[in-house]
Amino acid sequence: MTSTDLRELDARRAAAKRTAWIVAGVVFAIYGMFWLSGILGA
Amino acid sequence: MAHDATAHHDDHDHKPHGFVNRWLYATNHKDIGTMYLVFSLVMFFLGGLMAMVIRGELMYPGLQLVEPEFFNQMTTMHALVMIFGAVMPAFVGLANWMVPLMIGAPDMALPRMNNWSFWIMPFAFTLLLLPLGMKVFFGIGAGGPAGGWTLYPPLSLQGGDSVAFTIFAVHMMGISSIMGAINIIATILNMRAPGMDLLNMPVFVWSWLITAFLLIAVMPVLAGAVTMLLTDKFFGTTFFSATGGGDPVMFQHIFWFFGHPEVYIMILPAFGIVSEIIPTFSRKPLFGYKAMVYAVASIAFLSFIVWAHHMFTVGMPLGGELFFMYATMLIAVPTGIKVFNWVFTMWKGSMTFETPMLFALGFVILFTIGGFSGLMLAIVPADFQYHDTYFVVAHFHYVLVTGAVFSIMAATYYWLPKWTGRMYNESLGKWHFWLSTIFVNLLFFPQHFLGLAGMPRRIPDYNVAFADWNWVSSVGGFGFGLSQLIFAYIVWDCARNKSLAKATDQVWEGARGLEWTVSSPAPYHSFVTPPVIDDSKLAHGDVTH
Repeated sequence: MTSTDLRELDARRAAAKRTAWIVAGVVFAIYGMFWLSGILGA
Repeated sequence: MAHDATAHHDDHDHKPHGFVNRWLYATNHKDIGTMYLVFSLVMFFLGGLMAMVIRGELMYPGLQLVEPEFFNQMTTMHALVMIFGAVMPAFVGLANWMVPLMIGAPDMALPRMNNWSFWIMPFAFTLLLLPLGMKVFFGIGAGGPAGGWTLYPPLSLQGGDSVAFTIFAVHMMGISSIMGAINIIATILNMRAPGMDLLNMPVFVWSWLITAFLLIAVMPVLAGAVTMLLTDKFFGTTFFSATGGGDPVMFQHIFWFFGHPEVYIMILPAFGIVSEIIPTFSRKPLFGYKAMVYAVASIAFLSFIVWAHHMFTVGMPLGGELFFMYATMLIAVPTGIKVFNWVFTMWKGSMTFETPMLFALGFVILFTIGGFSGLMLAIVPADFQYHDTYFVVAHFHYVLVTGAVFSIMAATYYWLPKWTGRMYNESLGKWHFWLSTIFVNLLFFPQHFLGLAGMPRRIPDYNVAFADWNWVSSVGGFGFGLSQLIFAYIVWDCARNKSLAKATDQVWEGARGLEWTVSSPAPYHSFVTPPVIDDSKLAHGDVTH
């Protein structure tokens, strides 16, 4: 495995982590808004 | 396609030494996949044992084996164990093993989170099973939950402390599923080998990408619903109690907003598996690759707008009934596209019938029966007759047993040589298929008749008019249960018996795709160097037209 391969793999893993946080953040935000609207509407 | 050199280059394994290092601290996708699959098999037999108690009690009219309360615990726990413990972890295990291999990735994107996703499961199931186990083995407490897997209040809240155990277990399973789903999405979107475009991915990978989005969309809904149950039971709230201004029907709406997509979470990966196996044993590319992908996406979308077809009889406005009826029937269109495409893949193919293909064909035919009875149930006035009868039990068991479970069996036989490096015993595999197929129909087909004749579900005793078909169904149940011991033996034999024939790298003559370019058994670390993709050798051939 060359250093270029390693760098490329590290870049893909970093991008994957960003994707994971974005997906989790979107889900959290959507359900957070539901929750908030429930609390405010009550 | 990968260079030949890639497979050999990666063949050094560097496995961690010692049980704790290898399995408890596992971060390798293959090890975690194996743990998921073994866990699922154990749960499959545990849930199966509960099914045997149910069929034993129902073999004759009258009460003979267990008390009605225990019978209710068996129906509830059988469903929870099979859905959350057997079927879902099996698909996650298959995803762990195969998705990185199929897209040319060295591992899952987030290996340590992957470890966490798995190791939550044994603790969740210990919690879930504890009340039942304490009662059965030590005579302590009132036993497990008995209000049905759907946990409808007020019935589910009338249980003892098992309610809290069940709810916390469901929370933990949800956390595990959400983390697993995020990991799969990140892996598929970011870890594909250069040249593996989205519309070049195997259909199994596509089906899991879509399933993962379903999982993260609906698991929080279930978590919210059961949390409200928990506070209603222990903290004096009245979300689902009319006495405090709450509404028990609201629980049903929230539950099924999770529950219907959940059904598709258990069947979309099955569609992906069958879409891998049929082309291999027909020696043709999959017919209508893009249509298959779009059909899976359409089914996933529709799964969010049909939930109330589970609760027509609680009452809703006519407009609601019509909407949910027609939306449900609409699902037949993308599903029909899939069935026709599988048939056209086989058309004029050079077909052979090894065990994975037999299970895949069994899936196509028997799942379609489950689909048709689903259409019958979608018709509102008919559903008023069928609701809560054995017709519903027959319907969802055709979908989940001859659908989801058959696809898991097919996948196991298909990829087992790649996992173990040995060919399983093909004759025993065929015995397993034919015995399973005969007995599963003996088990579930008569339940259609029982339901249409009016036998309600979730009861330990029944009118003598239902005796004959119940006897037949129970004989089928015991036969199906025993047949699965053959499956367990075949898997164990293939994993352990060094005298079995060695599997080649490609394993199956018609197999295409990256997973078949690595050696058998798959090396502990694969695709550390990204493979070079050659479109013409991918699973589905040239998909640009």
